[in-house]
Amino acid sequence: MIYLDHAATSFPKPPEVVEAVREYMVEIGVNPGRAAYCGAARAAGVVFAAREDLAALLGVPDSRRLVFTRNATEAINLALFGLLRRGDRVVMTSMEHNAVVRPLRALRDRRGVDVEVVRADGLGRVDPVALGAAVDERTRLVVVNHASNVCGTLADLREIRQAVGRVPLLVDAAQTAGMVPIDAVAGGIDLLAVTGHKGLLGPTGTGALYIREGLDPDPLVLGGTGSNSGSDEMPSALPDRYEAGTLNASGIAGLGAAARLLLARGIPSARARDVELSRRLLEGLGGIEGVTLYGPTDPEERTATLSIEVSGTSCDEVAFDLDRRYGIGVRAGLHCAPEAHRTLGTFPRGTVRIACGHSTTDGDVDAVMEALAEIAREAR
Amino acid sequence: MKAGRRVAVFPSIHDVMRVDRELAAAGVAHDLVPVPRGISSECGMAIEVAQGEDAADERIRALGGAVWVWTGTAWREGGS
Repeated sequence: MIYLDHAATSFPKPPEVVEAVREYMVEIGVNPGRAAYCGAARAAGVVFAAREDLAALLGVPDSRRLVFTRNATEAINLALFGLLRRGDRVVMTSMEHNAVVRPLRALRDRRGVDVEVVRADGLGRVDPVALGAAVDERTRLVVVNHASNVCGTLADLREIRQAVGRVPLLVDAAQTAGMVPIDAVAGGIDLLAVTGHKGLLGPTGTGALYIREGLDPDPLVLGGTGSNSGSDEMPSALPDRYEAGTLNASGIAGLGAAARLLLARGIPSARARDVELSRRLLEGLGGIEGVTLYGPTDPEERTATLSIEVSGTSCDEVAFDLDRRYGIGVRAGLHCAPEAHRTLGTFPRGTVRIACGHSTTDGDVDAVMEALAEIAREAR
Repeated sequence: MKAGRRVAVFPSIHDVMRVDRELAAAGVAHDLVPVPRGISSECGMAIEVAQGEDAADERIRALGGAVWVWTGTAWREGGS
């Protein structure tokens, strides 16, 4: 299979990641942070190292403020449900994933939180000035995704940070962590949600939330932490405050190995490759009659996640053809982001999403373009 | 139990691991031990600093730890 669904999860995982998971499960295996025997200390050391290395990768000097979650969705839920109170107002963009949209809908229904949506333009670009103008004195949080999971459009976080003033900024970096440089603290990001299994190359079931000092969201999950055990309240110390229950330690071991690999490779080189792939796809797809491309045409303004339509056929048929006739795996539909599709003008039809990743080759993108040229020709 | 044992406890296992790393880097002899029941009912980990390593107390406190000393009859918080 030619795999072009990296926006859903990266595949294959690097051997170092697979080995770290195996090593944890076979050679360590015990619960981290609940005892002091040698094996437990080794397990705790694996989690500690993973947190330190992931924090270094994301620009978080105090790794205690990076709490592990199951994925970006859980990290976003922790931030939203933990911070937003009755009467609060939140500003989000129309490019957000359902990981943001659905919790905010629930918060509107349950707590009366006002949700203001700032619409992006037809390429998925959010105007920082419009975001700033949407902020008022009741605004408790601004939520933006760093890159659209539908069409790859990148948000200008620096401009957005300046435009929204002192209101806390939650960045959904599910599509960029590990692929695009992120410097959380230096960049003025207050809350950063990442998933471990996409650009970060870790196992599924891993993710993290960076919480800026001074913010104290209520924990989303409460329970045992191995600390402050005599109290029936959650401890105040991070990361324990937000990590009730046994961690996905084998997954975190893999995520730590992935973080070390990416630190060694350097995110800027991953980003440069991503831009190269975008350019190749944009140039090639732009020349195919019947293919409509969504999102920015400048590869510097986007990730190598592209959405297309082929005239005369539907996105599901194109994805099915790519799979069965050409052995190419892509995703069709709304990609859990209906508001983004409304913004692009592709709701409810959806699009075919071609999503490159660390392991994507020039040959992979050439193959999908040749296949799409044939499918488009047949559909005319 | 021998008087003079010094054990440092921390708010989280993360802090224990961080101090473990720092003490190892500084060449301070220490070991990871269960939190003594006389200090806390924690189920986690503490750091026992070897005899003669009293100078580490200040660094441990700076990193969020509390140093306890066994007097021969009870644990007393303080250290040097």
